[in-house]
Amino acid sequence: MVNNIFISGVGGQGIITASRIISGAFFEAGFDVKKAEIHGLSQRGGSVVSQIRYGDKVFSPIIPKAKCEHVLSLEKMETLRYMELYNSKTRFVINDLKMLPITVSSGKFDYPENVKDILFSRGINDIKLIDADAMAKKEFSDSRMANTILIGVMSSSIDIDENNWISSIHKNIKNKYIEKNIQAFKLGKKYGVENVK
Amino acid sequence: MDKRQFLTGNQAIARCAWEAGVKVACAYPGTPSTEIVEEIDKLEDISSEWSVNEKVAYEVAYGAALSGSRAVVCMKQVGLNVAADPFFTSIYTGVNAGLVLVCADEPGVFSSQNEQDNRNYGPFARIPILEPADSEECRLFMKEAFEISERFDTPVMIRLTTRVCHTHTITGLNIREEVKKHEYKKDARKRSMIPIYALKRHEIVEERIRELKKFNEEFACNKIFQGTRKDLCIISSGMASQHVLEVAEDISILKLAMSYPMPDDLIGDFCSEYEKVLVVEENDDFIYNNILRIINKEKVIKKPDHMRVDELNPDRVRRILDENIDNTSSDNTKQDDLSLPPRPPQMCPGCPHRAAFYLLRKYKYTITGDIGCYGLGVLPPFEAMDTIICMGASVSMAHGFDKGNKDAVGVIGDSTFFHTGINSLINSYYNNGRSAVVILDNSITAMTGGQVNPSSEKTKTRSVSIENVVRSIGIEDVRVIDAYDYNKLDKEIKALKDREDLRVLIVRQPCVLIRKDRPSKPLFIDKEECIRCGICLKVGCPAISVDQEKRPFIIGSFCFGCGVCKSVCPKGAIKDGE
Repeated sequence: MVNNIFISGVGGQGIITASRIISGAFFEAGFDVKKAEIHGLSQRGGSVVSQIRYGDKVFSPIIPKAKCEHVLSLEKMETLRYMELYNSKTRFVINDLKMLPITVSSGKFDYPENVKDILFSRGINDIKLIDADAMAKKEFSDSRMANTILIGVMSSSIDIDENNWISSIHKNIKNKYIEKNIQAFKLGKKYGVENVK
Repeated sequence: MDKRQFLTGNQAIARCAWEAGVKVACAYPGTPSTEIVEEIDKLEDISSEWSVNEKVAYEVAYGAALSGSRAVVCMKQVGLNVAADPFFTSIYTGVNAGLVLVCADEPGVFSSQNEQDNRNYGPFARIPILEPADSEECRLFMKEAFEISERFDTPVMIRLTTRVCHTHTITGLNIREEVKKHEYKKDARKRSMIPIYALKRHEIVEERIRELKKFNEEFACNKIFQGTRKDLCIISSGMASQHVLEVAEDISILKLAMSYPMPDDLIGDFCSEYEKVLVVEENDDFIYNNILRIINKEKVIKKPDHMRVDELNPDRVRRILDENIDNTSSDNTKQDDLSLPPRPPQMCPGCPHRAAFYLLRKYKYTITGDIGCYGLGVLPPFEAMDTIICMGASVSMAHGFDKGNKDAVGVIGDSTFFHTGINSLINSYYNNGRSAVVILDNSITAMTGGQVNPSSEKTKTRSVSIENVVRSIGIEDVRVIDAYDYNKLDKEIKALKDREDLRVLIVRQPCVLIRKDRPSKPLFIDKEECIRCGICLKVGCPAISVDQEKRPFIIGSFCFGCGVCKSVCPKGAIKDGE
């Protein structure tokens, strides 16, 4: 059995670090893990994704269509770009953040405002849309904690021990930010537990 | 020591270069191979360098191997085209200590200009090729590669693909092998390729490849995975084999570790037990074409021709099986088309290339471009570039346009200038060229993540001045401009039209990703004065967005303070921050 986690967002948002923390937790828990992403050109403010697969044995690093269990999206619209990966049971944690691509700010396209409704209309119900930037600013006076809060929320529906997440944060975050990230993670997890769909 | 680690293929290659006792590592940066030498640079006991291009990198590594120290050279797929000259002949002249070429192909073309399949260099140059499929194999195959290199006296190529390079998988670790320096002995008949010696060496190359084929028949890294089906078996290699293993649990699979020279007997014996043979490989039908020598064509099935384009994945492999073997219709559900706004990559806020492209577009030049971040000048809102072919081509193609009676401006970066643009510029001057060349000097190789080059500030390496090089060629009309001095830049770019001889314009500011300071505080747009003309949006800065009423505003946390938007605003509505 292979489990699939898909992370989407915009270049510069910290997807690589977020996916390091997540994949690191499964590594700590003793699973076989693969984490695939693309470096280079697309990182310059373009759409960026990371794919994490874990289980007893993982071969391909690429998630097959409709096989995604968990989605973490750091920007609202980016969630909609990969519909073929989702199914009606896929669980979503979405940052309620809107970043306008140049194609919108130049007036050529409209930004889809109703991300949640679009997902609902595809039979997807397990959606947690969270203004993580506001939460991070309020609780930590630091919007950079937003990603870790969202990871905490997602962790609440993944069955591995919390220690694995904490040691992954220790291994993947600079020393002086570790404690703050652990607090952010726990805050997110608490939110996730209290807001079960 | 076998500690469990979670590494990318590139990190594993770097780690095992160290474990294998490598003394010298060279590369020119190129996605997806860049991180190999970046990682090696962090390790002790290895002398590593960013060479100015792949040909030079190959020659430096080859020199080190001949001198008696194990060496590794890394490049992306198109880099081997640049290095092809020494590469081909070094296979005649052999090694002393081991030499491994790590070459990364890009099925899917994520960050390249083409999708060439470098396995074809195997039979072309007669070099053995190993194809690891994950980080653990990267590590193991590196070790094997050095042993093969020294045992058979040949460079060995490790062919990676983007998904192997950039996928983290679990791997072990070992200690560093202390390899004794090989003694250097002069041997001109072996290493100085005048015609009579070269012919002799070619005989040795042919003999060597026959020996390597025998070796590959018994090579323990080739793996057979037994399935239950008797009607079909699969042959695959590299990342494609990982997708196959995921999808085809009941089918027997031969996973080739060394895809050239091929183990004919192993393949023949394996296939004899099944009715049909399917070959699953990315890009070219390399294995397929080679096994037709061994197996009856009627028995072998290749992937559909359209699958030669783009990378494979589990879904595509499933489709190959469904539609070509089992005659079941595959999942053909139509893609959910939401017509989402595309989100193309953009130049960073404060990018020193921004104003130059805005102005090159404004004056409607024909632009021959080059390889680097300025490739983003192709995309909206600039749409300024006419051509992007390869490194250095901007300068020589502008010269060609000029000879063909069409004015063009060659636009190149600092790293690409030193890569091969320098040769092109000498050619333009020497052949009475009168083209215009704009060198966007941001003092770093930026697109690949910021590797140093001769234009970089002196640190561990020495610096070379671009203008001194250009002047020393004999070119008199050399101008150096501050990339953020918009008005002066406007004047100079406009004036390119009026030149009468070869002119070089160096537009300089360091890449924002290596700068610690900012030119000024974040700017803001005065709502009262803004007339919503949209001109500031045409500079394509990610820090400028629009609100619900389509009024532009500056996202303070993104703004770098370069002031280009302020310079283009016709109403002076963009103000310096407090």
